[in-house]
Amino acid sequence: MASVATPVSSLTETETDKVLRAILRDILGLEQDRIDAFDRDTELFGALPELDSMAVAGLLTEMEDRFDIVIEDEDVDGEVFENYGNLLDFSVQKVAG
Amino acid sequence: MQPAQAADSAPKLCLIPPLFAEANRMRRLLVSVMRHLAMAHGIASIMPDLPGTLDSEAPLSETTFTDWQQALSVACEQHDPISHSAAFRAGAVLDSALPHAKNWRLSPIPAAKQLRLLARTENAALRESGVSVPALTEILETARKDSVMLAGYALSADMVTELMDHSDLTKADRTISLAEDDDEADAVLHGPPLWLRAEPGEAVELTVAIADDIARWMAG
Repeated sequence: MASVATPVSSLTETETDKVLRAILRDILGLEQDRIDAFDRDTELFGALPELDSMAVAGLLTEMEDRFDIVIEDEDVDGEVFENYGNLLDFSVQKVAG
Repeated sequence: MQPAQAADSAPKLCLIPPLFAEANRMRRLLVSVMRHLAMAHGIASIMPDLPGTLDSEAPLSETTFTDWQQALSVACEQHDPISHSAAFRAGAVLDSALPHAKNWRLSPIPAAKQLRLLARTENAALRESGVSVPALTEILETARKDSVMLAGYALSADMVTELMDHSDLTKADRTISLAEDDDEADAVLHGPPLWLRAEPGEAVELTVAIADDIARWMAG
């Protein structure tokens, strides 16, 4: 069972989730309901033709912009883009500093 | 429909496109904005291709930021009077080349951020081929000293240095954002940020909203 999160951090994660979905929608040009249907197991890189390596570069840059964080390219490995859950975890961790 | 007739002395607009890949992605929208400005508002506009970008035949590798500023200034002198500029994204670093034109901007970003994106795109290709990637700051520091190829763009050391050093954007006469929470924007327009997309397609409502906002601002 997952540990119980405090209301503040769960709100933060919810907001991070919302922003991350908006970034993916803007970059991939997908309809909002398709983005809303993403769950943790939704595969990203390799499964979505819109998400090529150039789009990944744009994605990281938009994440920096909208989360007001700095992402070092060396910190990013291929696993981050395997599925939505990994990308969300990575974002939550970066936003938390 | 015939375009509304404008007097020779009527205000004229210069559109400054985004830089690098974003210029290609936004071009269709920008041309549609120009068409709507002419047809619906009778406003004449120009959009020069910066040397080495879009349809320009000048080699980008031999082009500097100063060349871009001069080209823009000369293009606007030929279409006197250019009274207003509308810069998109990192194109905002160039509107100071038209000191007599009032400036409007859409989602401006500093040129350094655009270069960081190019370096990152280069890294993305490296990572795909299984090579370990250098830090972005390292790539850009090297690029200040030697010419580089970043994401297909051949950039001289002068170009990179000048772009990095022109990164502070002063406040524009009007700044528009597509993001709700942008504190620095004077107004928000709703529509997709097409510069992020490999296949941007069309955004008709956004096109009209941009043209209408520019026309109202120019009339004000």
